[in-house]
Amino acid sequence: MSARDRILSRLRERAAPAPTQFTELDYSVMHRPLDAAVRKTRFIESLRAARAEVIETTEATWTDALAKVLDSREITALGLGEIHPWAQAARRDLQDGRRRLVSFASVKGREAFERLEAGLTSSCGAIAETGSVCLWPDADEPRSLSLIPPVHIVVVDERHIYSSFFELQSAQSWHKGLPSNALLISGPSKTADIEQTLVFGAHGPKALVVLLITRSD
Amino acid sequence: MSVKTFTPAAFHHQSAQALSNPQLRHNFRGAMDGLMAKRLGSFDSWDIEALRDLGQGIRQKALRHLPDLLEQLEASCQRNGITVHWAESADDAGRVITELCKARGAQSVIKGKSMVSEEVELNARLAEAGIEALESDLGEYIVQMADETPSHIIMPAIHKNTADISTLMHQRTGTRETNDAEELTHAARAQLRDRFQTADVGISGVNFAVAETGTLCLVENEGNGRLTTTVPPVHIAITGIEKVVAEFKDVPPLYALLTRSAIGQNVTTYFNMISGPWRGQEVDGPEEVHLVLVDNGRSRMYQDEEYAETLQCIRCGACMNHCPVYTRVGGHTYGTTYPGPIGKILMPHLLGLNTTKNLPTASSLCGACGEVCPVRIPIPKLLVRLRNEAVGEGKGNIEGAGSARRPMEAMGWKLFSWLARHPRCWRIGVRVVQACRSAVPKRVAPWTDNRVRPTPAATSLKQQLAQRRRS
Repeated sequence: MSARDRILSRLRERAAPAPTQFTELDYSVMHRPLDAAVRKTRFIESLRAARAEVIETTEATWTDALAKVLDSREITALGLGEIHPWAQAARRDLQDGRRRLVSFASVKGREAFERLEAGLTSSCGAIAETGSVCLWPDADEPRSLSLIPPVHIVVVDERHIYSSFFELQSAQSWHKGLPSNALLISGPSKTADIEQTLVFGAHGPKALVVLLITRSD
Repeated sequence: MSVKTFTPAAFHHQSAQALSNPQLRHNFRGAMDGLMAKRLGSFDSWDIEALRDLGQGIRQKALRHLPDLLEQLEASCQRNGITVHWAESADDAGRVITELCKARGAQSVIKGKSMVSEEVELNARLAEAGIEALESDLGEYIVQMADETPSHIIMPAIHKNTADISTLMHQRTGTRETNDAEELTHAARAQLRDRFQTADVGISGVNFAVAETGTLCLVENEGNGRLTTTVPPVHIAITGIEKVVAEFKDVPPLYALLTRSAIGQNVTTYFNMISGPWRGQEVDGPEEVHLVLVDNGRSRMYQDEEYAETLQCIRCGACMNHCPVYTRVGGHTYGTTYPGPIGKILMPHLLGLNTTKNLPTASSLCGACGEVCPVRIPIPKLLVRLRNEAVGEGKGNIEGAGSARRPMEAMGWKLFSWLARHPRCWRIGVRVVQACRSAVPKRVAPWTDNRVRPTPAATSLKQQLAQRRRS
């Protein structure tokens, strides 16, 4: 018998409890809906409390906002996708030669650690109550793009802010299957392992910039 | 590698040493006070009792169906391209992981935080095979540098202050000495950056393993967990068989409970959900993902429905943060991988009561651990049961039951029990004790070490009441 079978058979040795003991679980405590307006403010407040930079912008002007962020942080090499609509818009509007736009797929290994000063990604949703951005990395915007460069810039559409993680995973039917890697990101990387002193910039990005696309309708 | 040796058998000696170390007590007191206040604040907008009910329900449901869920988890993981391995003991776990590393010709391993890897002493086992394992969580990096083990399951280096860490990092890595935690953190970041790139294998723990979707969830703030599971070509996740949950919708409630209970945060910086190696056209992520499911005594614990409640634990550490004993003696004193209240019920099951019989007595039974436990493990009740089984006649679903039994003490209680049921003899006994009350010696160690000499009263309560009735 394999280790697997021995472990499982030991677990099955336990006499099963009477089935009447089982009652359906009550998940109502997780239903915490917020109004759209509250969702936006809560999202911004929570992220700022976690030391993220949040810039409210619009679909028409967001690449200007991005250019300002890059200029103010003196970023000359930006990693980004090629296919995602946000990445295409950025590539179209940032063609002024002031910075290199690097497709992440083309820089591998050590280069990725050394060459990129910032990574731009899209998001697949956001969470108001915890100030979290949800990422589903893929071939165009790989896992490392939001991890290795010291600055992570992410575009979030106001319409995609959910009240809670519970609401987000339920609305997007996560139970049906997930990508190889899904992430919730709620600020720049941090630690308090040295005498409880909160320090930002542990091993992940030292800064998180959220470009929030607001909608007037 | 020599790790400072604390043992559960030497608990009394170790606690006396810890209590006489004012710096250590100061470090723990300060940290625990802060954590308690932050935890309370973080549940402000929640119906905390309803959330704890749900957390308990989710964990109990998972344990009730544990063998079925483990099979489902295995199938879901395999579908996602994750290879599942089973380890009955710490030795098995070490062997499985060493072989996986050898198969890749691995020389160096980078590790994210994992208490199960501490439990099976993975680093030492890898070292025996000539493979270097480097801890990347800042707290773990510090304790590894000091040849120590974690003193807290969430904050491994909580026993050290900034000056200790600065001196240590200066001696071991040449880091400039400073009292600035930020400078030290950034120095560690720079030191480890290269190691993530050159490591052949990344090893992490798992916070929740979802049977439904075959997803491994990792909770962290630093980003070292993401680097460990993203950059090296192989990712090995190690976890206990009890960490499985049935459905994805079980994850948000447990995550909400975990971060708040552990450190009073509404959320951690990263919640990393891994459902396999890179797929299709993806350009990064590991080529291989392995999940090692470790039993190491858990299936035995599972046989007893009351003790099995210990397996509900989500490893938040709130019981430690609120324990008056832990706060005073610190984590190393227990001499076990998992310290504090949960450790005092878990470790006797993993190691047997022979060496751990003192641990269940290291509690005032104040009940704080049970009150804060996010999944309502009845820790005080289980501590009392372990005490009973430690001094009992050897019955109980635990190895080493009866190992704390002392014949004289057992006889003393038998005599007391007999006397209490025979009133005439009891009365004679009371008179004899009263007649000899001045004969109690000045020193009755260990009682008189810290307390005044116990002397029986001149008149018993019953005698006083009788007198009052007469007058």
